[in-house]
Amino acid sequence: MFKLLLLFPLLAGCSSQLPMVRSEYQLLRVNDFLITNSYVHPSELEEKSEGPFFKYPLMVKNLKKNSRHIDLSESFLMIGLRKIPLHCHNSHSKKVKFSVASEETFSVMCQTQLNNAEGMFQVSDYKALIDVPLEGESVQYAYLFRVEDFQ
Amino acid sequence: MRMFIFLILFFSQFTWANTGTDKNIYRELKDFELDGWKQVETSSTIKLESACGVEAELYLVGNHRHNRLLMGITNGNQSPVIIRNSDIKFIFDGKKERFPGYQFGNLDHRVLEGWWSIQQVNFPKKKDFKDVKELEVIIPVYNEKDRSTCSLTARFLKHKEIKSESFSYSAIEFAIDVGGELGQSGNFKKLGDPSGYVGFEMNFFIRPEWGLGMVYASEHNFKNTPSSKIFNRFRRGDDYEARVTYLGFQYLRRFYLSDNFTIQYALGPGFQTIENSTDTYNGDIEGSSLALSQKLIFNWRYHQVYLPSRETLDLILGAGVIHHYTPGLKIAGVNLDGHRSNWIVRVGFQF
Repeated sequence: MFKLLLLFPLLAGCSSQLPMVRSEYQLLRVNDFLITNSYVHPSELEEKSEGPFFKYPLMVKNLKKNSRHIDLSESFLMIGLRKIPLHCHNSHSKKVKFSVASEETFSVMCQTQLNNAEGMFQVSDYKALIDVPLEGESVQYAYLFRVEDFQ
Repeated sequence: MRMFIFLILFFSQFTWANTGTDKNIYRELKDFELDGWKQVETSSTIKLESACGVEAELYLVGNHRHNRLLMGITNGNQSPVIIRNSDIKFIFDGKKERFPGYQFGNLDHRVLEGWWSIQQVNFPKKKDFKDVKELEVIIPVYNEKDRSTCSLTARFLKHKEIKSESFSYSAIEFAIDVGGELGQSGNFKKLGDPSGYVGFEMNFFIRPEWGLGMVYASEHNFKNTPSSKIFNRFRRGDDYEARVTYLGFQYLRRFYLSDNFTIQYALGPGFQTIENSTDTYNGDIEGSSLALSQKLIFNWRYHQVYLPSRETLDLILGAGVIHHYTPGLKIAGVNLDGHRSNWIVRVGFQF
């Protein structure tokens, strides 16, 4: 029994696999905004019965010396040729449209429920594109979906 | 041998766990970001800064031993830049200036044009964070092309005071104890006088002040003396020496006298076995029972080793006493319940 206990850490170590990285860490500067995706889980995707629930948090800083207006309602997720609306809001105020002060840092949560039943994603892996508008320009991040995510 | 294999396997887990720590920024933030320094608006310690042609994101993270600056840097210049980690300046409340020092991991690093890097830099002492409201971080950025140095500055503000974020303690402890007899009482004296005590223990501190542990100990050479009535059954010429082994769990309480000195009290139940340790008598002499053990140890952290993983390992020496109570222990039908005490000296290490 004692020997079996000794083997447990080894078995646990060998059975663990390297996680698949879906989203690479990137610090970007777009339209005088500084944006990072450091709080995005690099490998996990939440599974629900109807399909994967996609979440993508961002941290953004306004680098300009003046306040700016943000409208996140046009955010989307591009999977293959399919454009899916992405629901983004300010994590603190929960607003989709809001103003940010000069040099203010704010957090954005983007999320959407994807649907297995549509079937169109069950053939190939897709490098999806997350597109979030920031006052006229968009910040874009890539995200890898696997066939298995939609099965 | 079994213990040796166990230690190798145990430490290999830490090695794997530490692999690629710098790269997994998400894991570092989720597990180690300092809650007391998070801002309400972002639920994060993040500071996003742009200066010297580089973009930087800075976070405050820490475990039970060290606080660290986690920094991601993207180089937007047309030439490589060098970040001199050992020259990074930390200013606490605008008064106390500290440098990281030249430890493992605090090496300069070069970021090519258009590339990014993630680094972690240890703060010198966690206790620098105690009762301060503001921390300013100044990062010198050296531009290779025009040979100029520019500084990137970030200012962190504390939201609330959390004790564990300014107090360094070890969470895992391994120790080997050796010692001898202090005294015996009750029926246990019938077993004779032991000549030595060897013990090994592994403790996990869940909080700075308390933890849980496991002990394996062995006492040797309880000799068959004329006063040991238990051995009347043996024939002349029979040689009998007993060995008592103890396997138990313990609750630990730790008291801090200073950074380097602690007093540790342990109390817990265990299982005790007694068996013949010689070859000349082959009779069935075995017994076992539950036991209760308590221990008082004085520990001295005499040396600190810096590990490549940016962590530190403390080497400890200690001394103290152990007391065992064994109700219901029997061997060969003879009741051996009673108390016994040992003195011990300790050598060990802590993370």
